[in-house]
Amino acid sequence: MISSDYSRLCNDCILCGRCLEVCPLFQSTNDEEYSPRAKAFLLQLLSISNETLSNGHVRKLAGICLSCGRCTQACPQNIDLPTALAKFKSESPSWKSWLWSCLIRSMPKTLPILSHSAPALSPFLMGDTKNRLLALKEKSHHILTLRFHSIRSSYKNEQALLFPGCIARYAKKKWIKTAYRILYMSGLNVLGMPDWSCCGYSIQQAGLLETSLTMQENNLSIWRSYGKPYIMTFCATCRHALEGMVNADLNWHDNEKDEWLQSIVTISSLLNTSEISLSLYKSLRSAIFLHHSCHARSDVWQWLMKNAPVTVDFGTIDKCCGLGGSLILERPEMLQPVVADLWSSVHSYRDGLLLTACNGCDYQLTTFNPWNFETGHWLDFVEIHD
Amino acid sequence: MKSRQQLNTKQKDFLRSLFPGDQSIFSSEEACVYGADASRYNDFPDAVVRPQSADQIRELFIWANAEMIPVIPRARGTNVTGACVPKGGGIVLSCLKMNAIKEVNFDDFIAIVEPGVVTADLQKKLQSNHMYYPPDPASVKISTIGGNVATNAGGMSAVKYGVTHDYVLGIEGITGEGEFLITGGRCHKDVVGLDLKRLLVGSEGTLAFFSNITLKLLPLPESSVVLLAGFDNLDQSMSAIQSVYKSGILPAAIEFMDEDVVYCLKKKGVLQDLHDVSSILIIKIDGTEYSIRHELDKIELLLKEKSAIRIEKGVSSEDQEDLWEIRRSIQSAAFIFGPDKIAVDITVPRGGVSACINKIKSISNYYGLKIITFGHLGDGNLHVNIVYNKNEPSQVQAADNATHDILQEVVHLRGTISGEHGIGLAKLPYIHYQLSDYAISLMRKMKKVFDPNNILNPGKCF
Repeated sequence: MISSDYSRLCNDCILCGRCLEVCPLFQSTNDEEYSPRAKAFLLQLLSISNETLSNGHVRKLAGICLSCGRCTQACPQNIDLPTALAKFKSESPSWKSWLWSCLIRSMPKTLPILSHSAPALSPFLMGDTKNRLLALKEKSHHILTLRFHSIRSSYKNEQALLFPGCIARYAKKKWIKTAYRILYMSGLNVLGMPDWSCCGYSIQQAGLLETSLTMQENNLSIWRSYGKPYIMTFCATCRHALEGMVNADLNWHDNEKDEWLQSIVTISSLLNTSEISLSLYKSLRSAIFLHHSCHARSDVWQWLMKNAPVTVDFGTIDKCCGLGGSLILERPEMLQPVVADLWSSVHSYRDGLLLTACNGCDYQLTTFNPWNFETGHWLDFVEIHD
Repeated sequence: MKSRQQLNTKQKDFLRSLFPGDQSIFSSEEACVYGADASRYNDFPDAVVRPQSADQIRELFIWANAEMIPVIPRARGTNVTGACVPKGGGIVLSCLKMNAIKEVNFDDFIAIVEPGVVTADLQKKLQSNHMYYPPDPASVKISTIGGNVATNAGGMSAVKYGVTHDYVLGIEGITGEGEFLITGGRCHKDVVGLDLKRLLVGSEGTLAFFSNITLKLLPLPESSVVLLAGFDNLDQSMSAIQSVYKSGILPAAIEFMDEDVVYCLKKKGVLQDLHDVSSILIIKIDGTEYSIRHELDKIELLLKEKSAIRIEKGVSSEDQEDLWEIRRSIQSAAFIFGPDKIAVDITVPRGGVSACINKIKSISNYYGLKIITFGHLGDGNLHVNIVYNKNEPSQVQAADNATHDILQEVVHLRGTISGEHGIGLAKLPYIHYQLSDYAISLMRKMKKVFDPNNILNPGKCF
């Protein structure tokens, strides 16, 4: 009899199949073995004595997951399958998890160099490696301008730190610069951008729980050392991971979890509650599509919808970009149907504009852009005149 | 669950050649989910195949007859009776790769679909063209037309619009002996010969595999409104619905929830704004804008006269969906009372609903088990969940006895032991409560005509 955290997390699964409706992998393949229900059932079977199943094969199936968390939101039993799978993987160490860890840890150092070298290296790069490097380059767009004139925020004079996320920190300096200007414009007392660790989401989902815990401890310690200010983010996944820290064993002080949760603010939600003067200029005819990332809150685009001219049409895409989880290492070819499913929702446009509010989604959407769509984080399109 | 190695190398080679690449699965880890469904019964398949054409299925059936290997058709496995569990092994035939909407014809008012099409996806496609396919089982967003036809699925709208078999005009299928069969077609009336398609609908994969299904469509009603009415107790809600019936209005759906259901939904946070109610009715009316205004006023007045303490209205499709989501949440919310449950979906004549509910309450008290009741009041189809803990032998025995007693009472009330879930494995021990030995023997003879070697989903349904 195996008794583990992961099996306990899945024991409540009633096999109802509500997760089938939302799982990007199942939706794009129709293969039941990749569905959340299948994985929860496998972990249930492993928790009883069963000689038919090989732990190694189950671990491989457990790795075929995007960790998007959509199944958790749909589950009537509140089963957090990505966390259960991460715990299972953490008990089944393998070289791929190690490699994943190395990739994430070394990426900050190599990303800027690689992205600047991409054009020169492009003849020698195969497949989407070239696109991936090009996706990390700073973008300059002329298709849309979001011009902020003034922001009146309820956070005026509050102390804040910027948490930009790894991709921004090492490859997208323009996002950081723009984010700072929005924070200053909102009247916040910005204390700077300390030496944060990665938010830890990818590491955690790969099953490297100890490494992820170390990163979380560092981030908590930084926040404490600055006197627990607001933490401003512009990445949906970073925000999700930072909030998820309250579920980790980090020696929290009394009531500190609530303070931590209240301190994490996405810049878009700051704009939701602010009075904004905004002009929107676009030079294309088709609609602007707003991407609802898996980890974004439902009101992520409220500030833009509320303040944009009524003449502008917005469409929405509520599909997973395919970046998350360990799928890319376990079965990279399976990304294709997931990505195709996302882009199929705008197949009749082909030359539109797709905005996102997640650093990772921007990277993935730009890498796998099959047509002449402009893609970008909304910060790419912001212009502020002092 | 035991491990089996029923297929030999030659048999596996055959399947690999007929279902190349990832069309066939043999590893236990990948195959095991294909051996389970929402009943939580399970067994390991010996193989899973995912055909993309009817020709492949015909060849599979001919081979399986020669080899005497069971074949278990399966869609998304959302049934709650174990209807697609490969008990004792066999080859699971997943139809999820056959999921094309092949034709929607607005002149003939028909759609032709493959079995793997998700029911809600079809409804959505039709809605944008002002057409309507009414059957709406609670699993409508996740279950398929193939599964719905195989189980003759009902749903919330059955009171006004009927169930799946009322919408199946034609079936192209492959019988158990591997013969192509075309029965019915695209005509809305057809009385030539015996109605074989009617026999196939609800046969739970025991007679034939359905490769193409022709469905009848209706014009989409211009408008609809969903009402949620909250009451102090169940008796008030029963009295209120009698008034609605007598007013001459036929709602498109009438759902009820007893006190225990309301309690578990509150515990699950589903009824956040309805703390003061103990019993709930959900009523849907549809028609023209004009008729709805009139009927809505009338129903609201009747509900208030019958002591409704809360009335919520869903006018927009999003608000309606929110109210239906309350109903769809019950099956899982029931687990707050215990880790296991036996779900039965009895149906009694409309006039017998109150008597039936009272009997169930007595049985619940007698055995000391939580038994919740909810469902489709309009057609007398009650969902009864008997909640227990399978690790407590005394509770297992009590739950079995309670199931037995409830089903006996239902037959005594001239009802049926299943209104829409079907028999599968779960209800098989009870069918003789309702069916005579002669009726069962006729069904088995018919099975032999379609499937002489009993390879198609053996041990289910009758």
